[in-house]
Amino acid sequence: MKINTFIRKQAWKALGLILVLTTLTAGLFIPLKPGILDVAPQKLSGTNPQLKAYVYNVPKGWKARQLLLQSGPIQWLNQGEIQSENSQVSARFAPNASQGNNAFDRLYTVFIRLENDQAQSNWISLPDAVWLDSSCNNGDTTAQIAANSYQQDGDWTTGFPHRPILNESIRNQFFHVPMWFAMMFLLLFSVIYAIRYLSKGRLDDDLRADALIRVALLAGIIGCVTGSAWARATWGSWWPRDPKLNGVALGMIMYFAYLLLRSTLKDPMQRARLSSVYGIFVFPLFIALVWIMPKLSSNTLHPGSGGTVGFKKYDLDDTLKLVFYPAVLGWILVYTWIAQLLYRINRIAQKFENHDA
Amino acid sequence: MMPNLLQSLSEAAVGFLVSEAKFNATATVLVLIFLGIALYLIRLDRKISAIEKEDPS
Repeated sequence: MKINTFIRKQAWKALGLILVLTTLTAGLFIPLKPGILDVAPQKLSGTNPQLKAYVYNVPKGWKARQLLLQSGPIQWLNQGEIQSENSQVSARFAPNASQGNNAFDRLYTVFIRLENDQAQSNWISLPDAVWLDSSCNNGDTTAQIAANSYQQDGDWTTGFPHRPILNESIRNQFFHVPMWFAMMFLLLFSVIYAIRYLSKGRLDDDLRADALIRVALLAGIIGCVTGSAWARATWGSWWPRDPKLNGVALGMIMYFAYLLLRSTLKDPMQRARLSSVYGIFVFPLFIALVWIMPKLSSNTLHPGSGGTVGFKKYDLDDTLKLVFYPAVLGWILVYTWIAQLLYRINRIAQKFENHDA
Repeated sequence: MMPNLLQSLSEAAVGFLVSEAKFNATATVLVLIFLGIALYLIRLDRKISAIEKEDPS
């Protein structure tokens, strides 16, 4: 075999494997930026309540210098010393009536200012983490304004963004999401082959389109199962109410119906023509169900659609994108490879059938 | 009896998924992807075996 042909035929498979391997490694080993995992208690009550925060991935040499509760314009700075022990940081608060009674019975965001030995500062936060009960009001009216500028001037570690709720599972963006991209691209490729079959009438094109749909369904099933595990860990349900999930379920049923349709037809020409037409018509419906409808919906959990924001907003240093896009490309290539293997097997099987007849 | 068992199983699974700052959710996703592709490869393998049996040559 000529070297040129070899590269043209095999290079994309190698590229797929390399991309999957590198994004797997990078996606697992690049650390998360520092953040607050959790706070305890969830509800502060009584005078001088103590708040404990569990910090995560704080680099060596950085110490907690301030704890701050903030809700809109209202801020409370910690009183007295901050106790630090391993990853636990705790301090007492003394909220009073100086900022009015609406300072109580509301949710506060917890901020922690970390400082290194060169007096550089960085803030980490956990939004809407703690409830300040009105019993915390100690009656004192001395104004206590938190003096801070939220200045970030430290050389922070590079890493993936630390998002509340997501925490380490943000890495699933490189593993769960590419399954769906692979499914959609394989279905698109299958539409291209279906159109080519209808215009040129070569049965091989129909076999290619069929194999692509079957492997796209494999990617879709893996996407559903992995998404379910991720959803239970972060959204609290194995199958949450979400337009994207319902759309995907419907879309997959349409493609399972395709498998059923195809299995009932025995004449190769008729089977190829009908399944090509079905595949071409179902694809726009599928895209509408999983891509467009969730974007129009007002209540969806998935990022980038409806009221939620995409990952991009938090990805300040592009670390996520740097791993995510190669992962998507890599998985598309690997699934296309699997589809190509299935096509080649089916073609050989069909040759044998013709031979028998 | 059964619902109780299912519930405790589900609770144990959730406990596992959210521990280690939810890193286990990532590990689980990777294992599931591996299992899905492995099962598919086994299916393909059996399909090839079936074809090899009817090989006319």
